Amino acid sequence: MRHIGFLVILSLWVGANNFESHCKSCHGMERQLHIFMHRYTLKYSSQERIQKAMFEYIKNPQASNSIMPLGFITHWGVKKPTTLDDKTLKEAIGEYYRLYNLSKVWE
Amino acid sequence: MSNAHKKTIINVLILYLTSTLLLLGVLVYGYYHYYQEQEQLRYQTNMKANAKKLHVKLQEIHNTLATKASYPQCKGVQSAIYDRDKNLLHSTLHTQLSHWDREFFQKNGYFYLVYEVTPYYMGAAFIVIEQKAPKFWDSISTTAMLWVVLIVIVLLATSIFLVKLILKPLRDNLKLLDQFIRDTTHELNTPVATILTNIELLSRLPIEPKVQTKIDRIKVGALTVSNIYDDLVFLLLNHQTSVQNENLLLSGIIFERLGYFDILFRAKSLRVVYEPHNEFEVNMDRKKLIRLIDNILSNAIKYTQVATTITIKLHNNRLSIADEGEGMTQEEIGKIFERYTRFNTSQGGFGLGYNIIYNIAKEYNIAITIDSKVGEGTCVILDF
Ligand code: HEC
Repeated sequence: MRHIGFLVILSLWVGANNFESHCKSCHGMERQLHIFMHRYTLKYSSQERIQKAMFEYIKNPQASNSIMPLGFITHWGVKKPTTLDDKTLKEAIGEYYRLYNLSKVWE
Repeated sequence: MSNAHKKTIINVLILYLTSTLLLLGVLVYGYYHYYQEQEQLRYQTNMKANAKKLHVKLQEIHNTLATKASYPQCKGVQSAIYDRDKNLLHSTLHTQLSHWDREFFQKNGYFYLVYEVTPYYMGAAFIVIEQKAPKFWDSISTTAMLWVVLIVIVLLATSIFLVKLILKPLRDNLKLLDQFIRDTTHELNTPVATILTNIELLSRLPIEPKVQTKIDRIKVGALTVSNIYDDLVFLLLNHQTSVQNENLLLSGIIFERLGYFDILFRAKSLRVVYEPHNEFEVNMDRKKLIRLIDNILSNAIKYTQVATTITIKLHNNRLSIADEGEGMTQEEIGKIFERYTRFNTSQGGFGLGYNIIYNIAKEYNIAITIDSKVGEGTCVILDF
């Protein structure tokens, strides 16, 4: 039991690290991360669908798949496809969701 | 009121009340159903409006990008939001719903409305509104209750009116018959008394045997009429005369009545066997006891064949009077105590005899048993 508990905490810590280390370098603005999460939630509603959509977008960013307004995309262009492996990316997205999801809003 | 009367009344009442109540029930049920539907529709629209309001509030919160916000509340209305995969996001419901298959339903005394929305502000794809359903008794207004009470009263009133209407011809007939008998009786009194006193006077004179038999026949006739007269007077004045109960020696009274009927026995060549085993006293009104015994005896005389035997036994508190007449069937015995029932139309009479016997026996708690076989005779047993 002790070992399992330790492993869970370790994996969470590693996941947290994934988001911190692989995403924060470009996404330093808190507000932007909130906007992304709000837009994903508005379109996909549930955790499963949001994470799946993010995963697919980051693996293969397309203007047509973006949740950002067209003006934003034409001005900044779409990001480059990620070089991260699937597992790391999933963990990073999971951590992002855990930190920024909208259910946390209700006090 | 006679049994036939009661039966008719009960039948009519049952028929009338069940049919009208059935109709009323169907109407009330139909109305209630309609009312319930209207009421639910009212709730449904109201709850839908609340859901729309909530959706707008969620949109506002979503657009402010707030990191903390309080869940929008509406007075008296509870709500919950679910994501597209029906996972609960937030709820203030009394009972949590795990699934639903209808847009509007009732559960545990609450109405639930599920409202599907897009886009998913704050992730909400389904808004569920909960509102307390009104209790059955609360939903029925006092005016409706008053109506039901009014209708039942009207129903009862009409049923009483109806019964009276139906029974009127029946009652009129009986009244007419009673009135007729009353009039006839009144006219009979003097002539019968005159005949009997004059016959008594005649018997004191020396008379030839040939004439004597003729006088005897007149006396038989007069006694029969007198007997009927006494019966009628008893029936008509039964409730008006004062009752004078006294201790009477039964064997003595029987002996006296046998003497009174002597000439009738002789006229039909009947042999009378009287066996009083013991003395027995009864506490009764003398007139009524005489009516009781006379009627049993005169029935025995009336329905028995010529030259047979009538046996009267008195043993402890049991008096039995047996004839060797035609007897009665079981069915006839059952009907015998109804007024105006007469089986042998050739014998005359008003069919009052057994009715009088029955009434007197009932008044003094005397048990009557009628033991009769067709062709063998009838035995009337009285247990005092
Ligand atoms: C090299 C810099 C860079 C890194 C690293 C990076 N991103 Fe991005 N990301 C961007 C840029 C630029 C955009 C805006 C253009 C766009 O939306 O495609 C963006 C957009 C996004 C969006 C919005 C997508 C949309 O639909 O428009 C999300 C979500 C996102 N990033 C998540 C992540 C996550 C999670 C990570 C870590 C695994 C990550 N990013 C790593 C540069 C980066």
